[in-house]
Amino acid sequence: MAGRLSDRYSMAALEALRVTELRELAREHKFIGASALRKAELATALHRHFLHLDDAAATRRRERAERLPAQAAPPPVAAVPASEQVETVAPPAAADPGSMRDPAWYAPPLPERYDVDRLTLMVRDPHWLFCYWELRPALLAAARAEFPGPSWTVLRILHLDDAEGVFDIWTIDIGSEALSWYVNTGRPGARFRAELGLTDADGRYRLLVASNTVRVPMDTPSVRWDEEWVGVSREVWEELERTPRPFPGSLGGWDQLRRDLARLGAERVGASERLSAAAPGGDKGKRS
Amino acid sequence: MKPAPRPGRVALVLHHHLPYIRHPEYEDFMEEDWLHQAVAETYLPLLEVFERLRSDGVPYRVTVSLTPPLISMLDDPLLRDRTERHLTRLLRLAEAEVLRTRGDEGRARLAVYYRDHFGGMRDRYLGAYGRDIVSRYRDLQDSGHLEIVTCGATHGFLPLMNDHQPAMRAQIAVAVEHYRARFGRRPRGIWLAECGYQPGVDQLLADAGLEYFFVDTHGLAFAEPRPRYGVFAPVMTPSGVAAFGRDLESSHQVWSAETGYPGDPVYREYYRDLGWDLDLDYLKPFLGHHGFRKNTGIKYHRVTGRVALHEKALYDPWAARDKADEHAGNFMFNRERQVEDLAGRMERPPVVVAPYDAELFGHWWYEGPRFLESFIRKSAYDTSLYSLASPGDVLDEQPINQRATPSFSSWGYKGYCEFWLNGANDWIYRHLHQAQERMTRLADAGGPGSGSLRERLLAQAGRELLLAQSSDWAFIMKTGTVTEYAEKRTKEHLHRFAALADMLEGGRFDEGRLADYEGRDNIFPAIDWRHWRSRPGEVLAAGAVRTPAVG
Repeated sequence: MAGRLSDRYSMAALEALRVTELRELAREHKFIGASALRKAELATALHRHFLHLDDAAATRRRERAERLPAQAAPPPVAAVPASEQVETVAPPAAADPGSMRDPAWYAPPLPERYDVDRLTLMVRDPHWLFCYWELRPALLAAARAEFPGPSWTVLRILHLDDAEGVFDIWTIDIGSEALSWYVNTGRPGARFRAELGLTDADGRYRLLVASNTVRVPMDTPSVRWDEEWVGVSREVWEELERTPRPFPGSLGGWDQLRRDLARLGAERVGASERLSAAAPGGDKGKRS
Repeated sequence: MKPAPRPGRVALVLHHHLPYIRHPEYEDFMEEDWLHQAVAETYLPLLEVFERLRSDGVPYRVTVSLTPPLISMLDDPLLRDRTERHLTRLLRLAEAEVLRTRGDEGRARLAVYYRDHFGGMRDRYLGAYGRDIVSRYRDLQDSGHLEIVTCGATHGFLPLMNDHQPAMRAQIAVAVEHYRARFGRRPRGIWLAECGYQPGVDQLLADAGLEYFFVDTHGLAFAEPRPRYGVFAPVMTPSGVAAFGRDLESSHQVWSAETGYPGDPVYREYYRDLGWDLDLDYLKPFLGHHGFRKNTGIKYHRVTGRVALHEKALYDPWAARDKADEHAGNFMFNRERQVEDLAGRMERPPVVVAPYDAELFGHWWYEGPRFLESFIRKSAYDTSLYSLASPGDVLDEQPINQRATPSFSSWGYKGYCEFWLNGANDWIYRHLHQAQERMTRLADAGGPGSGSLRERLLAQAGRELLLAQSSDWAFIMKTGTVTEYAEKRTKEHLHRFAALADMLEGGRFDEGRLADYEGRDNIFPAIDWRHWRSRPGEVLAAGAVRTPAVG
C-alpha cells in the first residue's frame, strides 16, 4: 500500500468531501456503522479508522521484519482458506479498537431453543408491542394434524377490555421463519394479550400458545383530576428501620409495619386541611 | 435572627454509574479504562469540589447515586492498582509533553497545566484518599452534605424483566443490602436504572424499605390521576413510596448539544485528543500493553465554533473557568425565575429536580465540576429564592403528598423502552427471561446449610444472572460502539449461569469451575440467593402457558 492512509485522508481532506463520498470511502475500507453518523462525525471517525489501519499495518510490517530471518519460508497461500485470509488482514472494525481483537476470548452462541412452548409479550412504548416465541416441533406437528388441509401460523393480538373480555382482535401472518415480532397498536393505555395459532383457508383457528397480559402506558396526561393527599411520618420510617428482619433474605418484617404506616399516616386529608398544612413556612404537615 | 425561609427547593442529583468491567485475565483491558478515566476526569474532580465546599463552610445538599457495580469496582484492589497505574501513565505523559512542547509557548503552558493537575490528583488519590474513593463519598454523606441513594444491583432495566417479581426484587434487595454494608445505614432513595418504572415497581421498593425514587418528566405528567403540581412536587405511589419527577428546563440547559452550556466555544473540545494527534511510537509507553490509540485525557483545544477538528483553536483553562462561573450564574438565574413563577401558583415550596449523569461533569464537559462548584456556592449565598435540598429533605419538610401512580416510563430515547428493545438487542430477552425463571426454580428448591457447595453455586448463579441483566449491554449494542464486547458479556454470563444451573440440577459439582467463576465475577461477596425465591401467588413464567386445543 502506497503511503499512509491517514496522510492521504487528512482531516482537512475528509472534511472537504461530500457525505456520499465519505460513505463510499467507508464502504471501501470496511468501516462499519457509517450510516448512523452525521457528516462531521463520520469524517472524524473515518480519520481515526485510517489511523488504526496505518498503526496495524506498521505493526504487521515490524512483526514480519522481526520474524523473517527465523522463518524459512512463508506458508503456501493455498493452504489458508479464503475466509481465514480475510480474517488475518481484517482491519479493526468500528471507531474504537476495544480489546476484543483477542480471538481467544470467544463466547459461543446461546441456545436456539429451550424446549418450551412460549409466547412472551413485552411493552416497548405506548404505541408498540414486542413479542418473541418458541414452539416445540411436537406441538406444531400435532396441531397441524388436526387440520384437513394446509395450515399456517398466525399471531393474534387481542385488545382486552377491563373485564378480561376481548374488545378487538387482529391477526398477523408471520410466515414460518420469524421468532419475534414488533406490533404497532397505536392504542396508548390499552391492555393486550397475544396468541400464536394455526389457521387455514377455511378460517379454522387452533390456539397454540397464549402470552402474558400487558398494559401499554398512556402518552397524554390523565383525564382524572380527583385529588387525594396522603402523608408519611418520619417516626414510622424510623421505627421500620429499627425492626429486625426475621431471617436473612427476607424483607417480610416490613409488611406488618407497612400496614401500620397506612393506618397512621395515610388517611385521607380534606382540601382545606391540605392547604393549611402545606402552606410555605406554615405548620408543616402537622395534623391530628 | 433566622433568615426568612426561601420559597423553592432545587434537588441536584448526580447519577454515578459504570458497568462492572474487570478482567484479571488481561494485563490491560480497553474497556476497563472507562473506570480509570471516570476516576481521573469526574470522581476525583467532583470530590475535590465537594470537599472544598465543605471546608469553606458552604452549606449545601446534593444527591448522589452510586451504583453497586461502580462501588464494587472502586473498592476492588486489582482495579485500584490499575487506576493508580492509569494516573501514573497520565502524569508521565504530561511530563513528556512538557518536554516535547518546549518552544511552542501556547501548548507548553497547557502541558504544564496538565502536569500540575494530574500530579496533584494522583497525590490526592494515593495519599489523602488511600485509593478509597467510596469512603470519601460516605464521609460527605455523614457530614450532611450529600444524600447517597442506591440503584438496581447491576443497573438492570426493570420494565423489560417481564414483570418477574423475584428477578426485580433481587435487583433491588441486593443493592439495598450492599448499600447498608458499605454506608452503615439504609438508603432512603433509589435511582431506578434509566429511570425505568412500571406500575408495581413501587411496591417492591416499599418492601425493601425505600422512601423515594425518580421518574422522568412524563412519568409524573402522565401519572394517574393527574398530579396537581406536575413535576414540581413529589407524588405518593399506592405503596407509600414517593416519586420525584425530572424538570425538563434545567436538564436541557445542561444536556442539549445545541443550546446547552457545554457547547460554548471557550470550553475544551472533547473529540480532539492527543491520543489521535501524535505519533503512535511516542504515545505507546503511555497507552497500555495493547498499544491501541485511545483518548488520553490531554486535550489542547477548545470547541472554537462550528469548525472542523483540525481547525480548533488552543484551549485556555482560565478563560474556560470564567465562562463556567458565568454559566453557573445563568443557571441560578433561571432556577430563580422558575421558582418565582411556580411559588406564586403553588401552596407549597416548588421542588425542581435536576438529575444528570455524573460522568457528564468532567469527562464530557471538562469544566462541569467547576460549574457545579460555582452553582452550589451561588445557591448558598447569592439567592433568596431557593435552597438546595435532597428528596429526603423535601419529604421531611413536606410529608403530605398527593397520591398518584406514575406512568410507565424511562428517561431513555423517546421515553420508554425502545433503546433497550430494538433490532440490535431484542434477542437477549428470551435468554434473560429463561435464566431468571430458572434461577427462581433453583432458589425455590433451596440448599442445605450455609457455606455448603450448593449455596456457593446458587450465590454465583445469582451473580452471573445479575451481571447478564446490566442494561449497559443492551445500551451498547444499540449505540454500536463496542457491540462485540457487550454481546460477549451477555453471552458469557448467561453461559456461566447455565453451567452453574446444570451443576445444581444434575448434582455433579465442579468446584474448580465454580472457583474460577467466583474469581472472575467477584461482585457482591455477601449476596443472598434467597432473594430469588418466589412468594405465594406470584406469576412467574408469564408467557410460557400451555393451552388446550380450541376448535
